[in-house]
This record gives sequence, structure tokens and C-alpha cells, in this order.
Amino acid sequence: MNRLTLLAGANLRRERWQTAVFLVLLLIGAAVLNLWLMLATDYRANFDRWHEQLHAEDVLLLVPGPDTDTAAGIRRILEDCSDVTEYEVDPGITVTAAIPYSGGTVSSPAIILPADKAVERRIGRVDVTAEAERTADGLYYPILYQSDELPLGQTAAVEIDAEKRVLPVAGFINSVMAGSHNCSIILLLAGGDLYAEMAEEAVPATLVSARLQNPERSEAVRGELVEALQEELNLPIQGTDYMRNRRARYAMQMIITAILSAAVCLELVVVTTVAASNVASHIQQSMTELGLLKGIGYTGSELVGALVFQYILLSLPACFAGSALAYTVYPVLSDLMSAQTGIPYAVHFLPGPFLLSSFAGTGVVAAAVWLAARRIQYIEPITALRSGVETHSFRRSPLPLAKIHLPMNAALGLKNSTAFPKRNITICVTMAALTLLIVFAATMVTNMLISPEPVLDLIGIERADLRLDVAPEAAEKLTAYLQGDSRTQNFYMYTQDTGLPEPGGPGLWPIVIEDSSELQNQEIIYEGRLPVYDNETAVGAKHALERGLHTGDMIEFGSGGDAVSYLITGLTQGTNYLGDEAYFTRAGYERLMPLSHVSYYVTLRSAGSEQDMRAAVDAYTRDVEAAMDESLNSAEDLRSMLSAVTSVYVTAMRTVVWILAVLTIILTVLVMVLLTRTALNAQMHEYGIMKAIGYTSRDLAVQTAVSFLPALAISEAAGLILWSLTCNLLVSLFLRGLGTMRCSFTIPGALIAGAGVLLMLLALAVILLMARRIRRADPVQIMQTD
Amino acid sequence: MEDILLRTQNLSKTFSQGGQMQHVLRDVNLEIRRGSFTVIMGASGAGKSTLLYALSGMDKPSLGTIWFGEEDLTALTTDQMAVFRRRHCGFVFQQIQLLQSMNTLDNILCAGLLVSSNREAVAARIRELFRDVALPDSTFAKFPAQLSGGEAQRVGIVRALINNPEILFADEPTGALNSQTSTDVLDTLTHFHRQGQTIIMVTHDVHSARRGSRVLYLKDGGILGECDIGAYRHADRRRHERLIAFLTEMGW
Repeated sequence: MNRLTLLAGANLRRERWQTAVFLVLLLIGAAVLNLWLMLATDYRANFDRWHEQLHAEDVLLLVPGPDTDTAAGIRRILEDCSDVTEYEVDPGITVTAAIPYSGGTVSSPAIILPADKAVERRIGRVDVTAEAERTADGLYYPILYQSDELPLGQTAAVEIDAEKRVLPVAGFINSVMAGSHNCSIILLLAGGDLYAEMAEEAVPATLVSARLQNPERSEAVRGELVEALQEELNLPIQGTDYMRNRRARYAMQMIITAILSAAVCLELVVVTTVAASNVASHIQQSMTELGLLKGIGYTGSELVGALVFQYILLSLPACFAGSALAYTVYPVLSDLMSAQTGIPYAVHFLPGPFLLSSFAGTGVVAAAVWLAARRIQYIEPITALRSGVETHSFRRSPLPLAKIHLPMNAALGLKNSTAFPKRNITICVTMAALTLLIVFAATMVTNMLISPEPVLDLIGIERADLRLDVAPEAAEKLTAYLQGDSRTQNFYMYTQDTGLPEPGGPGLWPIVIEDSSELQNQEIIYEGRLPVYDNETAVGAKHALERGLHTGDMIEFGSGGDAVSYLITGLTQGTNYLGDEAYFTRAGYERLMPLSHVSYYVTLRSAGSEQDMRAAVDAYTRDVEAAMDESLNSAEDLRSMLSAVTSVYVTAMRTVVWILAVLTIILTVLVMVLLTRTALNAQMHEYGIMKAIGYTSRDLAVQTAVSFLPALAISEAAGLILWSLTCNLLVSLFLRGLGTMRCSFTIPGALIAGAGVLLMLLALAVILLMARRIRRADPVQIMQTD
Repeated sequence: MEDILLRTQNLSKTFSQGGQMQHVLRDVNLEIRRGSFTVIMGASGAGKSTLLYALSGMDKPSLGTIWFGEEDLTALTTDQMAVFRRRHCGFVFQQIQLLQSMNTLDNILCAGLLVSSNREAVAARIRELFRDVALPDSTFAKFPAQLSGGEAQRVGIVRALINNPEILFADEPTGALNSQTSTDVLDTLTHFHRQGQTIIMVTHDVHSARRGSRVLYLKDGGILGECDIGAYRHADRRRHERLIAFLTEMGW
């Protein structure tokens, strides 16, 4: 150990700069690795923790009607289901609620329970996280919506079944399975007085909560239960389940974890490449010393061991420090994701990821160093002492000066560029990593931050101004009004109904359309086409893949003996329904069951600024409500809803893009500092000779910068082109688990090229700054030292 | 009339080492005439190489002035001195100091193209100099590690002369060579001197010193004495005896 410490100490004293830069790189790498591990493990497990803590249901169903026959029928079906271990059935009222969220409003089916009953539920217990003094006439909202728009203890405007109500905010709750519009059903609690008042007018419903033997079968069991209940009760059933909710509520976590995993890989590649490059430089520069050590009796293994020991000595504390550093960023990421998940998460120390990232980071570095240092074992002492040809792979530049017709400094720089193959490899690997970050960030800026429309298309959302919902018999009256109003630009049917049972499957979300060519978002079509005839359907590609279905196959919907077959004409994509959607024509859907309501998406003619459009939408809505009177079920401001939903993702992505930009700059600066310093050290002797001949410090600095240029330019251009061509494929792979099969983002060539140029200029600026050291090179001193 | 190419006035150089001042050169006044072959000799530590590097503009003196023609070298900045060196000076080093990553031709072009952008003219000059130093063209493609000591030093001489310098500075050019190779290198220097090249050479070897026409003896940072022994003739015993007598008088 003493010998190893002596050798390690000597090396460190000589290579302070390289060591310092390498440590910073490793610190960042360990921080990113720990972040990724924490998000991928504990944050993900947070859903399950709360699920257990609140004894949440694995299947949650909303059944219209509280009558005793309904309740008895439900209990019988649950008793007969062998997967169900326990269940609870509670009466409530079902509404469509439009709640303020992130600067807009989101609309979702909701069930309202009496507050006092909800907190005593055995299954699917509700946790009240904040409560006002006055609760009897107020509403409790899921904590996802806790903001200045819903001030605790004060009144706030909310829409219940298209009616604006100003109600006190009684508190906020944590509900695992119904705590977000992403859950398909939102749970609201009402104070005693408010509940009694609402129960007189609202539609009664039964909330069914069931726990299963195997929660991972929740999608299939939900489908079976919905099918059984619909057959028994002949009622539309809405529901959600554990597996679906886990995906839907943690979409943001999945996206950020995927981005981080890529960043971890890239960072570790850069760190290991730099470590290997450092070791290679060390061997070359210390060749004589290595020969001396071998000459006096050190074995090759001992010298390799000393190098590995040296790097472990440095890497372990750096990785510990980096893993700790992750905790400065973790709360920021946690807050960003809580804005989408709505599930409380307390940032706390996680020993598992901390230790894993610390030791894994150190292990990877040790492995890279060992691999690079093995050649020490083959160095012959006497040859090394003479810095001979056999083992000392001195640089050779194959480009003849006579053939390079460029100004002298450019010619010598270009010549030198081919004399450093290991340095060029390090540059290429680093640029490969950094260009991916640039292309991804630029693509997100263009397709999400500047304008979120491409992302909305990717999600599978129809972009319109209004969604108007009426009873089927009122549809003709509504369409006549819409056609007659000059403010209407266009409108089309787009009706989302309750869950559709699927024999042998988990069931899908049906969407009923009249003319697929009218849909605003044609990106949803992944393969084939949307249905035109009543025996046709298009289903989510993810669902089809899971069930082994293809375009041209037949699929059944409905329950038991009433199942109806459809021809699959196409596959659709989008995260909106997590890949579990099915499109029908109106006639096709009514082969299964009559439509209980009809929705129309309406786009208005442009009214100018966003504020003017919002006002125009409000005015239009009032006019429609007045014209349709009681036959209008709901009028939803889609502009506001889309703005609210996308703002959460846009904020998160903006933070991610900034992090990537800072990471890119830091990595570029660190790697260029390291490589330039190493090059200067290696070439200092040559600089002395060149200065003696008559080259100025400026000449040599320019030559140094030019020598980096070919590797920088070629690897950067190649990286930018490669990632630009594959970016959409990578994004679609990341989002495949959420239902997106193909990404068609615009790849912003000009922005990427501009960012690439800036990166190049940054690298050259760092090189020229570091090359000022050449001024200190005294030719006399250098040559006399020899 | 022989003109004065280089002259110094009260040239001094002091180094600080461990807090103590070391006066390596003290008030050196000398003149170098065009076409002369000046040899600087002295004991180890006398300041020979320091004087050589100061005269060449590679090292700035602490005091005094150095005139190259009408130009005061001590008033130049570091970069201006580099430009001065490339145009007026050539260097031959004891350790030869070729650039290991370049082949022989590129080593010379590296210096030649620094002054002239006319590649054809530089290439012609290289071939001419290679004939003068008796090196074959096949040496162009070899790397320094593939050359013998004598070949490498002759390449060094070609590099030093590629830009037709007014003065060739040689710091112990045979210090790292065996006797036969040393003779070859000295013959080369003598050849160029006879063609009119001004040479200043530092050496501690009397056989090398014989090649000069004038010998300066340095002691304790100052010129103790000088001796004009005339142009080199191979078998001139009296010239050799005059040199030995001078050196003996100097205490060598």
C-alpha cells in the first residue's frame, strides 16, 4: 500500500490539471447517475407506497345509479370474480367538473363523495392534506390542483356540469386512483351541506373500489368487470385501474427518466474515454520513469495496480460528492413532476442509489483505467529508458507539408491534427455525446417550447377551441346553429364515450367520428386508415401489438353474447389514451350501443391575440348556451384546457433543455481544457524548438487551435447529422410505452447548425485561452532542460 | 572592408536562483564581423551558451544592448525577436532538436516556409543544401529516430541554413556525436564558412575550436581574451599551436 501511495502521489503531483478536470467530469457523471437511479426507483415506487398506505383500489369503477338493484348486481359480480380479494361500494354523485389548473382549466368526469364518508373508506381511503376552517359548504380538490387559483379557505370558481359555481375551497386531498385528470375520473369531496344540496340535482352514481390478488392483472380484470356489469346492468361504466393509472400519472417521470438515462450513458462514455486518454498520455509522458521503475524492480502488474489505485482513490470521493450534489437538483425535478403526477413526494436520502452511483461510477472508471493501463506490462525497461521506438508510440503525422497549400500556421495545424489519434478519438466520443444533447434540445425547443402544437399532435389531442356536448336528439339543432354562426370556422363530431368492453382484452376507450378527414390531428394515424364503414374500426397500435392484432384482422367489442366484430382498418397512436383507443363511425358504434351523448369540436375564426380569442370563445359559449338552453350537456373551453395541460409539460421541458444546455457547455469546456492542457504538455518541447526557429507564441497558439479543428468539425457535423436523422426514432422509442409509435417532429436544421457552430466556437475559444500558456514556453530553458 | 554584423555594449545577464543573484555575463563588449567564424570557449559555467542565446535574440539580457546592424535587439518584444530570428539567424543545437513527429523534409520546410511561401524555391534550396551536406534525397522521407547522429545533425544544419541566415549560431554541435561524425559535421560547417557564412560557435572541444578563425575565451561571465588564428587549413600545425598557446595562457 505504501508503494502504491508513493507512486500514486507522484503521478498526482505531476498531473494536477488533468486530475482536476477529470474529477469535475466524474462529479457531474455521478450526480446524473444518482438522479436517474432515484427517479427510476424510489420516485417510481412512490405510487406503490401511497397505494399501499391508503389501501387504494386496484380497479375503480363509476356506475350510474344508486338503486338497490344496481348495488346488489355490482356486489354479486364482484363476489363472483376470483381475482377480487376485497371490495367497497359507496354511493356518490357523478358530474363533469372543469377545474382551474396551471393557468387554464381541465375538464374531467368526476365523482363527488361526502367528505366525512370518504376519509373513512376502507379501500381507496382519502388523505386530507390541507383543510380550511370552513368546510361544510366547500369542495375538497385533489392536491394536483392546489395553487393560487384555488386558495384554501377562500372561494373559487369551478364548473360543475357546465354550470359556473363559486364555492369555498374546503381543502385538498390525496387520492391515489382518482387524484388527477390523467386518471380518467377525479374524486372530489364535498362538505356535508354542499353534498346534500348537490345530491338533489346531480346524477347519482356508485363508486366501486376493488382490490385484486394480482394488481398487475388490473387492466384485464377491469375489462372483465366492465363487461360483466354492462351485460348485467345495461349501463355505461367508466373506470380506471392500477396499471393504467401508474402509467398515466407517471408519464412525466417516465419521460424525464428516459432523458436522464441517455444523459447518464453519454456522460459515462465521456468520463471513461477521458480516463483512458489520461492514462494513455500518462504512459507516453512517463515512459522514461516507467522504464526506471521497472528497472529497479517494480513489476508491470504493480505499476498498473498503482494507476488503478490512484484513480480509485480520486474517483470514490468524487463520486460520493457527485451523488450528494444530485440532491441539489432532485427537489427541483421532484416539484416539476409533482405538477403532473399530483402525488406527494418527500425528498429524502436514499442510501441505495447513493451507494450504487458512487461505487458504480468508481467501478466504471477503474475498469477503463485498467484496460488502458495494461500495456505497461509489455514495456521493456531498457527500451522505455531510452524512449525507444518499440513501445514508445511517438506521434507521426502522415500529411506532407509540401502538399498542404495553406498559410503556414494552418498547414502545420492541419498536419498536427493527424498526429494525435487518441486525442481525436476523445474528441469524437465527446462530440457524439454532445451533439445528441444539442439535437434533442433544439428539437424540443422547436416542437414544444416555441409552439406546442407538434407535441399536442404527438399526444393525440384534437386542437380546437370548444367542445360542445349534447344529447343525440339535440345534435341536429346544434349543428344547424354551428353552421349558421359566422364565427364558426369548422366543426366536426368527435365523441369520447365510456369504456368499451373487449372480450379477452382490457377494453378500450371508444371515439366516435363522422368523417375522419375532418379531424385536425392526422398524426394519430400510424398505419392504414380510420374507419369509413360501420363494420370498421381503428385501434391503438400499442394495444394491437400487445394482443397480436394487425390491420386486416377482426376484433370483437361488447359483452358476452352481444359481442360485435369489426375489421381493423388501421392502427392509431398517441399518449392521450395511452394507446388504448378505438375509433368508430357513428353507425359502427351504434351496432354496439346507442350513443348517450354527442360531442362536437368547434374551431372559431381567428380573433387576433390570445386574449381576444379567449374572449371570443367565452362569448361564443354564452351564445351557444343561450341557443341550446337545457339540451346542451356541457361546453368546454378546449383552448384553456390545452393551455393548462401543456404548460406543465412545457415548464418541465424548458427546465430539461436548460439543464442539457448547461451540461453541454460544462462538458465542452472541461474536455477541451483537458485535451488542450495535455497537448500543450506533450508539445512543450516542440514549441521550444519552433520558437527558437522563429515562430511566435501567437503562431503556435493558432496552430494548436487548428490542430483540433478537423476532429471537432468532422465529428460534430457527423454527430449532428446522425442524431438529426434518428432523433424522431429515439423519441418514439422512449414514448412507445405510453402509446406513441412514430414521432414526426420538425428537426430544426438551422437551429441545430447554429448551435453546432456556437459549440465549435466555444471549443476553439477554450483552446485559444489555454494556449496562452505557450507564451511561458522559454526556448532556452526547454532545450537546456534536456 | 569587413563590416560589423553584430555588436554588444556592456552586455550582462543575471539569474536569480534560490534568492541569490548569479551574474552569468558581466559587461561583455564584442563585435562579430560578416564572414567570420567566431568560436566561444571557456570552462563549464563560464556563460558560453548564455552569451550565444543572448546574441541570437533567443534570450533577453538583463543589462546592455545588442546591435544587429542598426537594430537594437534588446528593444524588441518576444514576438519581434522571434520574427528577427526567423529572418536573420540559423541554429544548430547540441541535442539536434528535430521535431520527432515530422519527417526530415517537413522539419526543414517547417523553417523554410516560415519566411518564403514559394514552395518551389524552398524545395530547390533544400536539394542544393542536401548536396552541400552530402545527404541523399532518400533522407527526405525518414523520421529523426531513423537517422544516425551525424545525419540528424546535418539535417539540423540544413534547417538552420534554409532561409540564408546572416549568422549561423551553433551550440556545441558535436557534443552528442562520436569523433568521426563530429569531423563530418565540422567539415560541413567549414564548407559553409568558406562560402561566406558567418558562424558563431560555442564549444569546449579544441578540435572543434580549430575550425574557427577567431576564438573568444570566457571566464566568470566576461571575455578574458581573444585570439585571431586565421582561416582554417587542415594541416596547418602553426595555427593549431597558436590556438593551444592562447588557451593555455587563458588557463584552459
